[in-house]
Amino acid sequence: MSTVGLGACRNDRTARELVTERDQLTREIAGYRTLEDVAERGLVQHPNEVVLSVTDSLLQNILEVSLPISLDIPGDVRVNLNTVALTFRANVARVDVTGTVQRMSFPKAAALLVLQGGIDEIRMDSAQALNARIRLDRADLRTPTGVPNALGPTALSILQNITDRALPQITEALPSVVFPVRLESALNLPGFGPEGALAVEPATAALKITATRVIAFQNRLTVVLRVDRGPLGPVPLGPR
Amino acid sequence: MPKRVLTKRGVRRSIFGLGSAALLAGLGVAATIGWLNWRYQPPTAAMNVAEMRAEVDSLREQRDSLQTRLVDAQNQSDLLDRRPSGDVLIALPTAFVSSIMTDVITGWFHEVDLRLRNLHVGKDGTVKARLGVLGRRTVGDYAVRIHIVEVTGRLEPDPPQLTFGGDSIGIVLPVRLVGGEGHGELTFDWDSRGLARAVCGDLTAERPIAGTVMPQRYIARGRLQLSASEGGVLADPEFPGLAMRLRIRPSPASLRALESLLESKGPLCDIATSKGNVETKVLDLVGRGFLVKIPQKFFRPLRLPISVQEELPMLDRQVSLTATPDTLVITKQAVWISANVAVRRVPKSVKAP
Repeated sequence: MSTVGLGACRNDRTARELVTERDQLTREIAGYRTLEDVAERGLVQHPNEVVLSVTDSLLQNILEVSLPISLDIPGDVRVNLNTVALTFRANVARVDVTGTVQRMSFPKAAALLVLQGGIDEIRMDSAQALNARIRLDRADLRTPTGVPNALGPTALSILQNITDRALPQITEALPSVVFPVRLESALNLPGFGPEGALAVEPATAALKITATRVIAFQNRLTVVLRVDRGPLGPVPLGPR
Repeated sequence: MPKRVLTKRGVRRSIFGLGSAALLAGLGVAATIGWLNWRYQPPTAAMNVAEMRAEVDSLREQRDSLQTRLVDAQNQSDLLDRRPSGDVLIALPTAFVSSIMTDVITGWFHEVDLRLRNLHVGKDGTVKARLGVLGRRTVGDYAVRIHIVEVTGRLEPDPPQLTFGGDSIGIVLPVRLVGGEGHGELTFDWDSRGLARAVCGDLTAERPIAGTVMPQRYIARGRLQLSASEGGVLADPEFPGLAMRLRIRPSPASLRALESLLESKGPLCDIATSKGNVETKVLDLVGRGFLVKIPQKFFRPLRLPISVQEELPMLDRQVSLTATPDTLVITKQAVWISANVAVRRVPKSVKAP
């Protein structure tokens, strides 16, 4: 029976490794395609595009100061996220987060946790701030070094499954990368007068900002933002 | 010693008594294992490993092929080549700045109303005329006074020409005065002299006058001075000495009213006053136009809609970012904003007991 169990575990590990590799390859291919497109057509491809670029060290710092994070996941398990490492490879901003996982009923026995993922989904939030989420591809649990009998293979396997199932929740708890830029939601032209012979009504044009391309290259994460402007029109009356 | 004999009753007990309990317990264990297996089965359990391996192999091939193609193409674009240093960089390409500034500059003059009120103009003169054998004589003095109660005009811009260079953008903007109208009162005083006094007499008359503003085209020349301000780019316009003239063309009805006024005094008087070209003088007066100076503050400075946020507290994380903007760099390709950013952890605020 244990042989069958071990066989199943091995099969599952292989499947998980393949899933992780598939996700990483998919992301790398998308990254290379973007880079290829940039090499052929240039970084800016539309008159309404602007470029934002931040260093990897800034991103690393923003992520680092946001840790540690602790969260409880189903199965009476606590996940502690302690350190983060950011590397740019194949036009992909890869994020590795390390921490521990422990059963709350046996808090002294903790497994080492390594999360692999990447910076993904750059978007504007409701406060017009630009931020990026980290998407996790894989969670790997290992027995902590120096504590050889803290967790047996069965316990580690169960914890691994619990952690795998909680990946969306762990992803949600990870800090988002906020870019320190201000993006206005409208282009506002103030009115003038009436003064002397001149009178101009104030006007406004709505701005819609979307991230069109992301490039992780030469230690910088570069985001191309498209700023679409609506027509200039009168300023809507506010509530009286 | 009597042997224990299994009776039918004993057999029934072994099946439905202790035996059935063991069977139920076994089923319970199996169900629990099944539930645990279902509850904690890994997400990858239902996957076909062989198919997945084939997919990964295919993706690996694609990745390697792309990697090879990009080995020589990893030179950056011109835009990134000339970037300044800084933790955060914002590049506003010339095309973007030009596009947004075109909107803004035309927006300044879009449907702008010019309105002048209570303008007074006038002209005095003496009329001399050759009166047959009497020769050239002074026939009278005139005074034309026009009170423009109100004259309005509307401006419309055409697309501007922008020239990027240094830290400013040169602007040549065609502006059309697309018309308007004016109205007021005309006062005409005629003081006859000599022979004309007998046939013409003195005259003071007031008539309403109305007209339309003549369309005209102006070229506004100026520049936008770009500077760094609060982490962004401030475009400060300068249009020195810009002025426009509202020229009025009196309506035919107004001119006819003026003619009828002079004709009513009789033909001789008409001859005398016509020598003074009163109608022409009225046309001159209002046609010369009224100057409207466009004050510098009419051109409002504009902040470009993307900038570095100097303070960014992240309330949910006790993390604060402080960006220190650097100088503005303007190249032929882009306007660059750069900033260095300090990231720090903010201590949790201690709640009062």
